[in-house]
Amino acid sequence: MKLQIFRYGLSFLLIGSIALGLASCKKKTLETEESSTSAGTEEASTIDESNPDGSSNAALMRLSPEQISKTFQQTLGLGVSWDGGDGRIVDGLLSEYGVLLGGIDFQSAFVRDPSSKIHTLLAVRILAWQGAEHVVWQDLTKIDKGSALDELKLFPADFLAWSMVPGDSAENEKAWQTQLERIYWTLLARPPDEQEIALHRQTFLQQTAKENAGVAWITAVYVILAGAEFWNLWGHA
Amino acid sequence: MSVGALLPWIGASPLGGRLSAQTSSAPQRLLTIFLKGGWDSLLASDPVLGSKLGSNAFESIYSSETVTAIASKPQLKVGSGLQPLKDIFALVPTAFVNGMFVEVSAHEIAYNYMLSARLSLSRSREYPSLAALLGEINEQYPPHIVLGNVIPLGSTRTSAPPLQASSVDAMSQLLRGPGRATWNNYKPETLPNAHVLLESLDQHAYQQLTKAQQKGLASWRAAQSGLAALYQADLGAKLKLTDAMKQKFDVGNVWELEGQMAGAFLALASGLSPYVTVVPPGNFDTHSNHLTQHKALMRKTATAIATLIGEMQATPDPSNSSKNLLETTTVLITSEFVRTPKFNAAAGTDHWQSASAILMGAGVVDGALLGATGTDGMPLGWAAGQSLPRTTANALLPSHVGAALLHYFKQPDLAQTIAEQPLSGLFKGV
Repeated sequence: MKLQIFRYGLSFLLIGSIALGLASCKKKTLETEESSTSAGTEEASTIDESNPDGSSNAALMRLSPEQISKTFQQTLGLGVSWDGGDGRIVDGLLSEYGVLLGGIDFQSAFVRDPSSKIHTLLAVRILAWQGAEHVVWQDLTKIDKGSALDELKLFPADFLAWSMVPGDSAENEKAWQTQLERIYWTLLARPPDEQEIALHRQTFLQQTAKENAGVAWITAVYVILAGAEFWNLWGHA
Repeated sequence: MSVGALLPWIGASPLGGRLSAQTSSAPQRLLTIFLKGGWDSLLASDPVLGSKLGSNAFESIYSSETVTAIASKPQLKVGSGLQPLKDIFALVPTAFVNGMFVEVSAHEIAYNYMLSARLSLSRSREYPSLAALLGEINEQYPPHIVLGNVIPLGSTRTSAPPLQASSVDAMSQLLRGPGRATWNNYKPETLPNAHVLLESLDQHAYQQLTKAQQKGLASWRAAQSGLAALYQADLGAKLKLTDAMKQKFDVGNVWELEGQMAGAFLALASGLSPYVTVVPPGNFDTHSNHLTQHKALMRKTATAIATLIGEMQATPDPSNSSKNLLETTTVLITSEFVRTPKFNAAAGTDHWQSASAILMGAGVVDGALLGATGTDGMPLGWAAGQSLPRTTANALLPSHVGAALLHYFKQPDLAQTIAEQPLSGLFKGV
């Protein structure tokens, strides 16, 4: 089961690359004007129940469970679904964590859920961590993942993660930042900005001191995979 | 401390509108145990007795099956499949409902019908199960809990979706958060630190969005805002199956029957939600070799349910320690339909247009036997506590039972949407 869940987690990396690759010009849409920044402090969190995600206001399109499962299977050819024996296809994500990722259960799609629920995020975080754990350890330990999975290589083969702590030396700092940028480009189709790099660096140093660089890199990948940007397309201005 | 007190944030979450709210101080609890596939009530709550013994409609071998009268409850008699439960039936308030007429006997439709008490033949029209309806009036998170197979949610899918997982282990993992599985050995601060970073990055990205885009993230952020408190409360720890519990329930695999029953107990005892539905594996749809396959499955299930009920009796209600969990919980055990009274060519049984249910615990009229099947095995009509030839007007339907249950849960308006006349005599005061 663990391997299976790892596979799911890994799929999100690929799907994210695909989906967000399509939206690679999203960066251009980010408002940088002061007026827009201040809007963030207004906490636009009052929920209109008839339009919970303001979808008529923003060109938001969340990845649907169907997209996730179908793309995963088509891309990797891995078994996240199986014949339930009664003609229906059993979805692995549903089987493990129930109604999630929009509330569609593949058996009775009566109303499509337009808004994120706590259950969605609980499942997203489990899968994101397992995906991050999987890909980081596989890369760092150079385990052959097979041809399809090799497509997603967050860390280059010669990457010496264990000794790379930002700030140790100019060379390490540069290599660490290059690696972080590589992860951002792969998963979010954009580089991190200065504030994001600073936030990552602070946590990375904490994690390295308390645990090791491997855990710190898992964290770095996890926060992207579990983040709002990975799971939501914010549309074009 | 109540779970609700730990999770005050849910009031602002996208759980939709509410009817009259279930109070958190002394909730009425509902445990639904749905035995998938269609069980044989002739081996359970409706054994072959009396005039049925001479009827050709029934396989003759049923007349030699063990039937036990429940002590001090003369109306209740159980077949050989439920023998492990006979002492429990004697001890706790128990009622049987037989002869519910089900117009359909296709699994998926009948499954939804029995859980929601409303019939829909349409793939695009799904009614919420009774537990989901009650979940919608629960102001605490989670609205209701589902273990095992998915259940019909209808419109509650969006307004009050359940916390659901394939097993109590998976549910515990969801609630405890990532990196908490037994094989992980991360430092306690690793994940909290990661989540601080995650929220900082999300906030940073959020501030760069337009106001319209920010609105698009409202429900995501509302859901996210409570996760830290949820993880900190470590509610998932309450759902961890201990070795002692595994031994008590004889759990081999958490996905299997015994694991699901143990999970249902933990879900109730944790106080996470008053409404728990468990759909354990174990397909009762045995079309062959009936008395070997089906009876064994029924006995195994009855044994697991007996353990569950015993544990509920021995455990105080999480919100009211003066009562045990069974005194505050109504237990509903049912299946899609029952089996044909005659065997097929493979010595098995097929689908039959009748359903039955067993109710135990809080509010149940002890010893009540409602509804009946006739000498042809088909449901009879039911009126004023008496059986009579079935007509369209007097047929006892799942909706009558569902409405009675909702009346007992003080939801007459909801009950009215299901049936005008609830089945009387099943619940005290209804």
